[in-house]
Parts: sequence; structure tokens; C-alpha cells
Amino acid sequence: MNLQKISSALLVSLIVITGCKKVDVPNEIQPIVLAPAVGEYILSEGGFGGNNTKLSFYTNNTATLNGDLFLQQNPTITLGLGDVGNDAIVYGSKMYIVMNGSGRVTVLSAASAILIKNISFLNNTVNKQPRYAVGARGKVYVTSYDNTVSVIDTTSLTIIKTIPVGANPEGIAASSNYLYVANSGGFNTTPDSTVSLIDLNTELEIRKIKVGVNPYKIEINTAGNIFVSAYGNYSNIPASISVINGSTNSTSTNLGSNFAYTNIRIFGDIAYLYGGTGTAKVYNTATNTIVRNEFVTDGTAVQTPYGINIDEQNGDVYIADAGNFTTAGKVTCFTSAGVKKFSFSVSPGVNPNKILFKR
Amino acid sequence: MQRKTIAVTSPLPVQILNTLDAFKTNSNSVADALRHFAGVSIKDFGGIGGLKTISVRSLGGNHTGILYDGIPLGNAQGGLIDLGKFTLDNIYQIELHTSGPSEILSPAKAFSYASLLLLKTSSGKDRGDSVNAFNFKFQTGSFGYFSPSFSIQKQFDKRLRISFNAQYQNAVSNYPFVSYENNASRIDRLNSDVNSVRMEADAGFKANENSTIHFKSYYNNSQRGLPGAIIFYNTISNQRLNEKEVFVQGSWKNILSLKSELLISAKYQQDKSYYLDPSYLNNFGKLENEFHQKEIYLSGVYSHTFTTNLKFSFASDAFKNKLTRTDIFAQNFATPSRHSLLNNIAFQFKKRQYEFTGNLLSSIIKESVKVGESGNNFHRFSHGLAFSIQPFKNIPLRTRLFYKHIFRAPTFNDLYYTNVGNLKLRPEFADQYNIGITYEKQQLFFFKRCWFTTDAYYNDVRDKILAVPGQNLFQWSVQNIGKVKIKGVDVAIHTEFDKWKNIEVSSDVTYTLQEALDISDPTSTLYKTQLPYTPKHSGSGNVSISYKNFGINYNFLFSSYRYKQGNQIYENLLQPFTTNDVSVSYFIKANKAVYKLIFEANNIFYNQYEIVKYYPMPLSNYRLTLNISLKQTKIN
Repeated sequence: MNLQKISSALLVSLIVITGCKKVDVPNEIQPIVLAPAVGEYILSEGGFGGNNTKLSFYTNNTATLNGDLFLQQNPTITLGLGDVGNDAIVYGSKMYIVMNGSGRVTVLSAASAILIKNISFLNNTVNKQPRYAVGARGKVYVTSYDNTVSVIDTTSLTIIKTIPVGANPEGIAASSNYLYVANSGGFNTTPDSTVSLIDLNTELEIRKIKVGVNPYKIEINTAGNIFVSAYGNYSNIPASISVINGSTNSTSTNLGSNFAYTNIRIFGDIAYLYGGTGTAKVYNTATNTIVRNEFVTDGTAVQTPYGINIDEQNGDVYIADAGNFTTAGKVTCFTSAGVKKFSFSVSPGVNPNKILFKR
Repeated sequence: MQRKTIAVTSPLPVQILNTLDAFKTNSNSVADALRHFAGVSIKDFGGIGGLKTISVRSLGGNHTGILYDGIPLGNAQGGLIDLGKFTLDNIYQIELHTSGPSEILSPAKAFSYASLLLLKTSSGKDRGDSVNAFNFKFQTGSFGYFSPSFSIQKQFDKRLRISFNAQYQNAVSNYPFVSYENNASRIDRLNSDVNSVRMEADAGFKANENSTIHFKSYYNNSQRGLPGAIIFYNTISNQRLNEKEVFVQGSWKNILSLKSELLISAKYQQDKSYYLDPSYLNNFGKLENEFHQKEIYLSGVYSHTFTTNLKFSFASDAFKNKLTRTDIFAQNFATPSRHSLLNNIAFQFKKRQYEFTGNLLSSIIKESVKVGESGNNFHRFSHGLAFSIQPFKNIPLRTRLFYKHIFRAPTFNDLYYTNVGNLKLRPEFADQYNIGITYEKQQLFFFKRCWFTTDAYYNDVRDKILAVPGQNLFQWSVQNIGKVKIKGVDVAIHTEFDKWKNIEVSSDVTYTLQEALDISDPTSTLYKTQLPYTPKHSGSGNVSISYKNFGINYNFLFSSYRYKQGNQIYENLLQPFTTNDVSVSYFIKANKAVYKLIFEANNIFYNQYEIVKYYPMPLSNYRLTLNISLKQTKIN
């Protein structure tokens, strides 16, 4: 009937650290020495109304996939994760899976994928439709299409506060003092084109910053500048990338028509722009130069890049391929030079959108 | 089931169900009854209000046309007509003609589909007898279903007959289904309520022996909940759909001479559909879609018999369809109009032992829009040929062959749906090849009558119109990218036993074997996989026994496993199912009145099954019908 917004992608800085303190917060000051990844968690959102969200795990040294890790670790939960797993993050010792269709956030142990708790986002007759999550200052912030950001306490795993933002928020990113929320307005007849700036101290919106039309994803580079990808209006306004100066947080500049990408993932200063032509464009955000117009250099085909993440330990780039959106998805690991290392099918996972590393 | 001889003699496969005995198939709607036809699959979203659409021989719903009392029902918007909304209250016969009409004195549009469904109403029936009649029916059943209906018919003189029929239907319809979680507990399907009113008024006028005029007006208004797919952990469901259909139609059949006949038909149809999502997360707090469709239709057919064996017909249809949208979200809606001109010539050469028919159809379609650009205009020819022969004069065995090349035009949704529609779409083509054998025998052993038909077919669909997502799931587009190869076998067997001590027994069995392979893209993992929702094996069976005033019927349906869209993995699997239904009836005749009581029990073995993934079908359910009919035969 109507097209539902069911897409997904990547998130801002996730810092993977073990050990649960009184507040489930990673120690952000100590320099991090990362061990090589044991494997990757893959979240596949499935089809809309398909109840087929899968959390899979790929073990690197044996090159084997456990297609339905969630069911294996939680055999009594026969229905599985539910409908449209839009996002997943690891924060502290826990994994938070944002279930858009089922209307909840499912919290698992990041080490074992054993269920800890489900946090409901159903509100009487309305599914708030949670979308994306980010962890900051010991809390997890989740955007929902009902124009809010919910604040989850990571020890009680309850929603302790709801912050009003703009229309139909999508991506969210956290700097040390602020949250940035992309207000898509995608359900309105005229899309929104702002980012809500939220003070992490007061947990209130300070102001809205104008960006491209129908903003979607937000990423922050090492200099603290904020990059926002936007869908445009699907007809005469193309997708775009806007940059907010992180020191003033007031205005943004548009990178122009060579940057018609709906999706973005930044690692250090390197931005991978996708959801446009080709697999991904590689852009250096520090020097403002295009590194490569096509990330893949060995001709490996990626049909529909649907999620990108970078192994912080070695810089390898993992690309989730949604293919034709109905058949089993695929993940391909590339070196940062765009040469394929290996790939695997995530069957029975359909529409893989998130890759998280386990060390 | 009173399937008639035409099923056996026609060069085109025809299946007929007389629905005066509809309870024999435990059917409440046309969609229910069609499940008992060979080669038919009904996509059923469950419950009384759930959408039910037909696909014949895996060609998809857009390739089946529907004639209501001889005049095509239009739906240029989506192309699919919900067959659940036609209750059997006023329909006395359902006919499914594969390929096209077996009667060549038919409108051009009747030739423009890969298969044709004829719905014939009691009030539209051209009866020879002059009667005044009154019929009252009351139905009640599971899920809070109740439906009173009545019809009245008045014969004024030999020439004029007027009738009126009305039905009200109401169902809370929140039927229980077996929980997906533990396969044991029962949960209610929410938001499945239906409330509808249908009224039909007919007038038949027989000016003289050679000239008959029939006029019909139709009104249907329904409100229903759209329960949607079962979403795990989230039972919220509150979307609504209100529909209103009104049409007036008339036809004039004139026998000009012993050799020539003329049939003129006209129709005006106006439909409204209103969809509401009251918890849509936009700044209005709701989403509304209000569409209005209008159709004006004119048709003339002339037939001429040259020799006693050879008959030609020429038909010309002109019609206009328009779609408007009036809700607050209707920004820049194209407001498309389509003018169609169809011309058809057909011939029929008939001898006792063989029959040869064919047609050539020219279709001219012109598109125009109020806003933006319009889709392509086009002019196409399509054709069909059919042949049947009885090789041995004394053996009632016939062989039949047909070939048909036809297309379906892109619908308004295909062309103009916001951000999805594609103006460059071409028609979707289907080629059908069929070879069949039929056999009919009266008085064979202890059979009063038995017949058998089997057809093997091959269908080729190219430029199939499919909606495919682009770089993300926000941006779909409709494209001519599908290719399908369908091979199948349909079998139907009917037997009636000799009456023995007031006991009459008859039975019907159908079986369908289908391989419908997606051959769109050789590089895809879906290449050469069975089409979604298409079982390899399916069938139905019916046994009816009557003893004096009692009747008892048993029905079953079965379907082998299917997959929903995508890879053929467990997650996409739909389990095989069978359903078993029984009904008992009793009638009494008193003076001029007949009182009939029918009790139907459906899905008696409590099987939980799905036809569409995550749309659970009802478990055991019951229906009780009381029918009172009064008839007065006037002999003027």
C-alpha cells in the first residue's frame, strides 16, 4: 500500500570493550589496543512484515557462518528476533538490536548473544518505530519515527527519558558533548532537512541545523566535523552529503553534486560514501579530497551495498550486499585498497545492514 | 456440482459451477467457490474481509477478466479485483473460460484476457418462465458473522420483469489462530471486522421474441479493517479500508434475422476507495489515500452466420477509465485517463465432430494525464486459435488444442504510483498453448453420467511487470523485467451415480500440477525456481449425497508446499495444507414456499494453514443458513 521506510545502515563510533562496571560504560580515556577480530556479527533486517531478522556470526579462522546465532543461543525464543532489525550496536558489554517492525530494542550479551531484556517501543496503538542507536556517557540513545530520542539506562535497561526532536529521526551520532540527530521528515509530504543538536548534559535539543533534504545518516571524523548523508526527495532533489563544522555547530556546507550518496560510514578521516553510483566513493574528510571514486579496485561485484564497517584493528572494509532484497545477503571483506580478501553468504539472512566485530 | 456439457465439448477449457447449490462446496464467496476449479489459485489473506484474488495457470491476477452479467468489470488502477466481495447470494453460475469466451457473440474486451471469469446473477438471468418470486435468507456463523438478504422479483406482464436484491453483511471476524510462538495457544486476529451492504436492481424487457433489453444497477459499500501480516511481538493493527462501487449497465440483444444477431452494451462505473492509517507517524498523525475511478464503457457486437456451420462476429468496444485522488497527500497526482478502443473479429466453424474457432483483436490504448508526463500509447494485435475434434463418431472422446497470444496493459499503479511508477512500461505478454482430452458418457455401468477433462499447457510470460527496489528500499521502480515459463496439467473428473432408493450421489475431483519457473535473470539465485506462492500439486474433491429432503456434502482442498518471495529456504516456506469441510441441508416444501436450512462446518480438522505468509487462515468455523423462497408461476 504505502512504501514503508525500511532501510538501514551504519552507526557512529562504537567502541568495543569488555568488562561491565557499575554503569555499563566503556572507558573512553585509555588508549585502546585492539586484538584481531575473532569474527563478525552480521545483522540482517529481513523483509518488511517478514519476521525474519537474523543475527549471524562469522568465525574468521574457520571461515564458517552461524546463520542464526540468536536462535542457537536462545533456543526457547522460537520466534527469533522479530521484524526488521534496523540497527545494532555494541556498547559496554551489551548488544542493542533496534527492531523497527516489532517495536522494541532487544538487549543481548555482546559476548554470548544471550538475551538480557527486551525494551518495548510500543505505545498503546502506536509503534514508535525505533530506528538507530548510539551509546554515550553510559546511556544508549535511540531515535524513533515518532519524533523522539529515547534514553536507555544501560544498567536498568529501561527508558528513563524521551527527548523531542524533529520529524521522523533516522541516524544519530555522539561527540563528547553533543548528540546529532538526522530529522528526515520522510513520512511528511515535504521532507525535513535539519539535524537536531542535543546537549548531552541537559539532554535537550539546543537548536536545529540546516542540512540536505531528507537527512539519513550521521558520522563524525577525527577533527570532530559532522557528515550528514541525505536522501533528497527521490525525484528532482538528489541525494547529498552535508558537513557541519563541529566547533560552531551552526551551519553546514553541501559537498555538491558529485556527492549524491544516501549513506555514509567514516573511519578516522576516511569516509565511505555509498547508496549512489558504484560500490562506494572514498573521500578524505581531512584534506577534502576524493581518494577513489570506486572503492573496489579488483573488479569484485557488489550489487547493493547496504552496510559498511571497518575493522579498526587492521583497516579491512566489510561491505554487506543486499543483492535484490529478497534473496540471501552477502558480506565481502576488502583490504583498505579495495582488494577482496573473502566473502560469505549470510543465509538465511536477507538484507544485511550491520557488521560488528567481536574480539 | 452441476458442471455442464460445454466443459466437455468446447475447444477452450471451460469450468462451470452452478451456485444455486453453492453450499455443496462450503463457499460463501466467488473466491471460495473458485478454489474448487482446476488450474486456479486464490491468493487469500484470510478471514471474511481478507483480499482474495485469482491467478489462473500462474499467469497472475491481471490476466483474468471478469464479466458481470456479460459486461466487463473495470479496474484500471490496480488491475486486481477482490473476489471475496462477491457473495454467492445473487450469483447463480460461475464460469471460468481459459483463453477467452466460448461464445463468439461477446464484447471485444472479453477476448482481451488470458482467461475469463463469468459471473451470472439470478436477477440477470434471462429466464423463459414468468414468475413472481420472493426470497429471504439469513446467515449467521463463527466470528460474529451475520448476514440477512432478500430478493424480490415481479413479473408485470409477459414483457417486463423487475427484481431487487439486497444483502447486509457484518462480522466482528477477530478469528483465533494458532500462535506462531508455541504452536498451541490461540490468539485472536485483530482488526478483521467487515461491514457491507450490497444492492442490485434489475429490469428485463422483452420487446418481442427477437429483442431483449436488460438493465442493471449495482451498489456495494464496505468498511473493513486491514489486519496486515502478523508482526512478531507487535499486535498493533488499525488500518482501515472503505470501498464503494456503483455501476449501471444495460445490454440489448437483437436477433436481426435467422442469420444475424446484434448485442449492444453500455456501462458507467464509479468506484471510491479510502484507505486510512490512523497512527501514521507524520505531522497529520494519519495517512489517507482516497481514490476515485470512473469508467464509461460501450460495446457493440454483430454476428453473422454464413452457412449453418460458419459464424463470424465483429465486436468493437470503446471505453474510458479515469483515476483521481482527493486526499490531502495527493500532491501532484498524475490524474491519468485512458482511452481504449478494442476491435475484434472472431469465427466459429462447427460440425458435429469438430469445432474450429479463432479471433484477431486490435487494441489501441491512449494515455493522458493532468499533471506530469503520461505513459506510452500503443497499438497491438493479439490472437487466438482453438480446435477440437471427436475422432470417432461413436466414442464420446474429444481432443482440443488452443493457442493464444495476449497481453495485459500496465495498470495506473504500474505507471503513475508516486516515485514508483514507470512511464516507460510496455505491456506484459503471455502466450498460452494447450492440449486436452475430454470424455463424457451418460449411462455407463452404474453411473448416470460421468465426464473427464484433462489439459496439459505451456505458458510463456515475458516483459512481466514487477516492482523492484533500487539502491534502497525507499526507491522502488516498476519494470518489464520478468520472464516466466509455466508447464502444467489440469484434471477434472465428474461422476453422478444412478439414483438408488432415493439416494443420489455425485462427486467431483480436480487436480493441478504446475511448474512455474522464474527465468528472468540467469545470474540470479532465483533462476529456474518456482514462482512465489505456486504449489506444484493442488486439488479439490467433493462428494454430495442427497436422500429425499436431506443433503450432505464433503469437501476437501489440498496444496503442496510453496515458498514466498525469495530463496527457497525454510524461512520462506509455507507448509502444505488440506482443509476438510462438511455441510448438511434439509428442506421442506409447503404450499408455494420452500424452507431450507443449511449447516456448514469448515476446516473441521482444525488445521492451521497460511496461503500468504504470516496471514493465518481461520481454524474450524461454522455457518448456518436459513432460506425461505416463495414462487408464484403465472400463466398468462
